[in-house]
Amino acid sequence: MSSKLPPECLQMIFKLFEDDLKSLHSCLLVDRYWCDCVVSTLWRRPFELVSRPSSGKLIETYTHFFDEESKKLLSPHNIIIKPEPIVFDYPFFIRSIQYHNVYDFSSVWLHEADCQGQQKLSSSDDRTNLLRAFSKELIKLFLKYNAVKDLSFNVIRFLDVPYLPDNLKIHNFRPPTVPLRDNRVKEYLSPFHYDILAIIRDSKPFLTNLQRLEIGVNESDANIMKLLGSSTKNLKTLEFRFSSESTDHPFDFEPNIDYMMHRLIRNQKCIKKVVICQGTLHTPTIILSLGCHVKTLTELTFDKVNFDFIRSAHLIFETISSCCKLEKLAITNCPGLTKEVISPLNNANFGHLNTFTFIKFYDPMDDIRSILTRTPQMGDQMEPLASLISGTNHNLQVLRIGLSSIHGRRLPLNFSGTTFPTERIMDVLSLSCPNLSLLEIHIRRITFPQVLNLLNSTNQLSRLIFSAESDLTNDEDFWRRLSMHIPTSLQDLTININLVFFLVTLHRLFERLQCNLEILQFPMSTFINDEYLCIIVQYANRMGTMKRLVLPNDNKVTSRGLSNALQVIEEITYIGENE
Amino acid sequence: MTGAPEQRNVKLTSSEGTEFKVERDVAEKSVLLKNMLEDVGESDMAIPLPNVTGPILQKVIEYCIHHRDDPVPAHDDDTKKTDDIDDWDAEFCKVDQGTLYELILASNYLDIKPLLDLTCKTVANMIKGKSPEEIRKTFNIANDFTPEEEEQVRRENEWCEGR
Repeated sequence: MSSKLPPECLQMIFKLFEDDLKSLHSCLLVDRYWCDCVVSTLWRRPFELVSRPSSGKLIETYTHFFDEESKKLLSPHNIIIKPEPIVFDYPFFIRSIQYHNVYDFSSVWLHEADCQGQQKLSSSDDRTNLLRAFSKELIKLFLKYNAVKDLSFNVIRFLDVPYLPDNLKIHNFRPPTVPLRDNRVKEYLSPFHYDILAIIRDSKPFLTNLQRLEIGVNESDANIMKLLGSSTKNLKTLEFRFSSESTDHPFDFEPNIDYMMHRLIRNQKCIKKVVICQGTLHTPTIILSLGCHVKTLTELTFDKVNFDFIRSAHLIFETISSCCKLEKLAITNCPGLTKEVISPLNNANFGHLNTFTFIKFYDPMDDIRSILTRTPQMGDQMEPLASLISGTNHNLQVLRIGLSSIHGRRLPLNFSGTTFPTERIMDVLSLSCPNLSLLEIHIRRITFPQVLNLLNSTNQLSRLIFSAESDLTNDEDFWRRLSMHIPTSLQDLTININLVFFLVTLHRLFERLQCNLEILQFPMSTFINDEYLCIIVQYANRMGTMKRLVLPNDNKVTSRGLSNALQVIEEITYIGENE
Repeated sequence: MTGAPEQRNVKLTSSEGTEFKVERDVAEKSVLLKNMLEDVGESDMAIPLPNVTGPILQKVIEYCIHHRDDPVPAHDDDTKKTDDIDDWDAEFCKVDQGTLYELILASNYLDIKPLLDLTCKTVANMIKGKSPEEIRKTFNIANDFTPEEEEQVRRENEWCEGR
């Protein structure tokens, strides 16, 4: 029947499961017509579809498209490409490329080709140089179709995850791990940056359709910024991910990198989304350069920017508060957000804001200081957030208000007396957020009644993530009252508590819970054993809706407990500490 | 007190010449008809829809009446989820495959994005998770690959397998 649908309708259907590799692959093999219609969707973002390089087959198919010039450049590295007829022009379909993915997938291909005798690498070859040359030619091949929309040059990822213990095929081709110190880092990254510069220079005419660009910024990137600034103008999304080492060594930066970033931003017609990760010293330039885009910006994200080190940091928030079309604002793990710094948010008019994340960087010294000096506490300094939330015209659908410590790792929460979120913020929340579908909140004893009011005020909450002060975790009354107020619309509950709570408290939670949970997550509760699991299973059995339970990797559940649970719960997955 | 202005009916003619009268706001769920009505202005002339049969037009009108008060969808609405079909819509789509196919074509032609999304999601749900053979069986499709062709496509796309 539907083989007779016109290609545009069939393609519309395939796009509905563009992340579902198995279904797309099945459609490819149905018949010739479906094959022609689905191939562009399947090969649009292949690296992201596969996510982890475990075989070289994807790269193997791409190698047949190298032109003579590329083959000539690769042959001195002993990479020999044999010609073979191919059904589709696969590189034509690609729209999204990440340098780190191309590099890692290529290393698996080369490793396999070497093992199978298809390529003959000599032991004296510098494998990193070889892989760099190969990746460079492959990315140039993708770019020459002038159709790529999404490009990531972020080799700082190699620093963040320099060693992949479960994938030695990749590790063998990465440069040797270095101690993360200034000069060694520069040494580690500079060959990659040299290659990226060459790719951009050679592919300059083919970057005009780029819409999203992610750059891992290091000290030698002024030239990369300069070239990108002159070859792109239609970027809608810009993501700057700075290496943490660069932040610690500000004087290594070329002085004109800020100017080049400024030009890159100014050269774009209409930027909608900006992400800044680390890069404390460059944040003022980036934000102030965005001045000409404040009427079009819809998403802003700051992660690990240290506002303590930014002079006149409030000017950044002045610019943010003038972004009247903002739909999403996320500020996570950023120290130094005092009342003075964020005070311009008092005047913000975010009528379109539907997603607001404020994961407060928690410094235990804040609370100690406030007790010693009797100055306003950390939480009291956050009223601008109350103004911001009350100005969202009930449009907020996603609200995450929590605490984090250094490096974004969630707090152990075995402390008490934190003062965030404040009663003032909580008062506003219960009046301003009836349309929340996702809420993440840290519950304090003093704000608990307001949390209950907030839960009562929502009418379509489907996901709740909460942490709680340590003195609440074994308070039966807390769990009982919480369960009574959890709305019936809730489908996904995440309990972010790592302090051991009594079995009976879990009973208290489940005995009055009226919602039909599909997902229940305890990502930090490593103490969960068969007894706890048994109570969860009893609830799952009663409701009959539970599809997935998420536990931390290092839980205490036995294989017998697990197999009993799987008779009732469709799937039990594990999550790592930092995931 | 002034009440809401009375709506004029719009006449539509299906491919067989059957005439349907619908209220203007219902007809305007179709971007094609909305633009036509704006261009033509007030007129008693029936709008011919040669690509839509009577029974399908009846179904389309039923859908548009039920959803007449829905907000206009944004262009970049995230419609990728296929499991967010409400009960009425799911019931509406319980039709034979031929009708579903005609509804996709009609909503594409009339430019009714929510109906197109709904019908495409319904077909997507019929495909998801199935093997090529199961898909062929579901949609009554004959495999026209030669064994060599199939083998080559399979080989070039081997990276998708075993995930």
